[in-house]
Amino acid sequence: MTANRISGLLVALCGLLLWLVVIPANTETVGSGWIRPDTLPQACAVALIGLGLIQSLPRGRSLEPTGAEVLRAGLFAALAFLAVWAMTVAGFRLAAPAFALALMLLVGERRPGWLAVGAVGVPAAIWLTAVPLLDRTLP
Amino acid sequence: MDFPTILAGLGDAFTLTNLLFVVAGVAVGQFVGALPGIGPVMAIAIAIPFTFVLDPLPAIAFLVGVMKGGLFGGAIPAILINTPGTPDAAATALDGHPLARQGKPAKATKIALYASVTGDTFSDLVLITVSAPLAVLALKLGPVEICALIVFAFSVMAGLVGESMVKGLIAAAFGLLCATVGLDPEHGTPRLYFGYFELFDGLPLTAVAIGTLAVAEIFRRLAAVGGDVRSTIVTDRAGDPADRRVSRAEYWQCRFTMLRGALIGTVLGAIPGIGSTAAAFMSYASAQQASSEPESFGTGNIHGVAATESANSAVMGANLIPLLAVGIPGSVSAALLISAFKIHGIQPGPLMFEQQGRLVYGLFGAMLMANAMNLAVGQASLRFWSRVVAAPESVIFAAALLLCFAGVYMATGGLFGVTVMLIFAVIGYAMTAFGYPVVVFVIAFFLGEQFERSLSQTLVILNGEPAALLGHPVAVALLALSLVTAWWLGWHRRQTRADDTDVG
Repeated sequence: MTANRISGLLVALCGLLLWLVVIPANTETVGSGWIRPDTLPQACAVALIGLGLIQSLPRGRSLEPTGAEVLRAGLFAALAFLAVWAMTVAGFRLAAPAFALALMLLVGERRPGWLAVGAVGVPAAIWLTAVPLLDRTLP
Repeated sequence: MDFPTILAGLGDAFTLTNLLFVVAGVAVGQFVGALPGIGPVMAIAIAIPFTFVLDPLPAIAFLVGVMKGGLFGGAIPAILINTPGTPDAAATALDGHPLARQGKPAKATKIALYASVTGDTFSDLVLITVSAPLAVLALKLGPVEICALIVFAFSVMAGLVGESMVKGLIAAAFGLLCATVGLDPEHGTPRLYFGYFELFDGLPLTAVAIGTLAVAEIFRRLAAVGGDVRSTIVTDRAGDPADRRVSRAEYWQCRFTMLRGALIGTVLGAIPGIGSTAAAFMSYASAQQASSEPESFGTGNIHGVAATESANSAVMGANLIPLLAVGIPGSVSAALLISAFKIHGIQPGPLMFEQQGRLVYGLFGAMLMANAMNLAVGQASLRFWSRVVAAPESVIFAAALLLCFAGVYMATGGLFGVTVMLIFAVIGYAMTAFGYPVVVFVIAFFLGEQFERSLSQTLVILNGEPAALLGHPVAVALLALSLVTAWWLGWHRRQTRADDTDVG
């Protein structure tokens, strides 16, 4: 089964879940008006079911994402979520340099000068721009 | 629009403060454009939260500068290292890189700069001329016509962007669904907020835009980075001086090519969703067709560079025509400008000319100023940008991610917004990986609230009687046009796919 068909089935499944479970449980029932709170969300969910099923029909070429790249992207996304958590605990000034350093090392950067620029220079420049210059706060 | 308002608006724009913000924006745009992988869209998305502290006009002037600078900046890595900074610059690489390999990198980047500024100025003049009359017409449209117009915009975008119409429609439906999070516009009841009171006002625009457009792209690029160092062609001062400049005669020779490119870019830019990549390739093909030496294209012909750069830059001004005239963004960068407008309490659309006419003409003044500064900054900094091209991607993307974190934190006032940004980055990555057009999703998300409101008003006006729609001939025409467009684009795609299969 091609990626096109799998993604189509997933879209239809998500639409079904939204239509039957998520939207009814998270919208209020209102008795009046042409457009009720759940009208447009339900219409979108139905559209997703229909279009997802059409997408899952066997047809021509398909875009196939490579597993290794998806895994690597997932790793970077996980690291970013971890950085958000670290910022809630330790703040931007500690978490940002650690995150930048980890990211650069994961990508394969080993040159000390560039590592210093990314892990020290960049977070410092962002902090100096946001806090003293623009008078805003950072975590 | 009265003449004193126009003059006052232009007067507001031409101040030293605004000039400095325009110069800063252009410099940032060219710098970021020169970094392969970070185009003007990503740069604007990242820059928007940093403009909160500014007054509306300097903020918009800065962002316009980023956008215009980025359009030219994307050509630099395309020419010097054959790695386009933006998708539309891929066409520039076809002749720009061979020119650079022949020892004429400065000539190639300079003709790209001149053509970019020429195309951009042309489309800005068209924007300034046609947007006000179009806005007057748009003011005559009621909710029924607006609703039909949005449906038409969706059908065009879904049909033109991405690899299939079904995927485009799925992206549009998903964008609309995400726009329904928060208080519903008719009853004011909260929906789909999952217990998070931060979502009462809906999903934060900046978090969704930066997540899907910038962070998702950074994840994709990071996953593909090999840790290698790029080799670049240096624009040094050695060699024949004629190879380092574009003479007046050469510029004059390219006038029809640039004019054609500017026209193609302006026409395509005014249609929502088509974008600068299609304009650049179409202009390149038409320049090659019109040339007396078509075989020289692809081997280092300056007409090839002039054609693509004039077209892709002309798209930018024209993209603002539907935005200012009817409030519908023509591209993602225009959609991002909407969020910048909204952050500063401005509602884009035809009423802007009536209620904020001075600001609109201030924006036009800033755009013209940005064109002149694009030329000046580009001329002065070409050698510097050619060095920026070689900066390691590991540092660029780490810096870009941290800027996204800080920007969204400042825009949304907390890490909740940053988490939303990351969730939409994952969604955006998955959409791109499976070929669902993120551009359509973002524009549908931006238009969702307006669509629901106009749909609700339409149903009240029609009182549930479908026959009453016949009393709105413009809406009927637009809906019919949507159906024809959807059918025609769907059929055209099937034909193209069948041809590809036959060739394969």
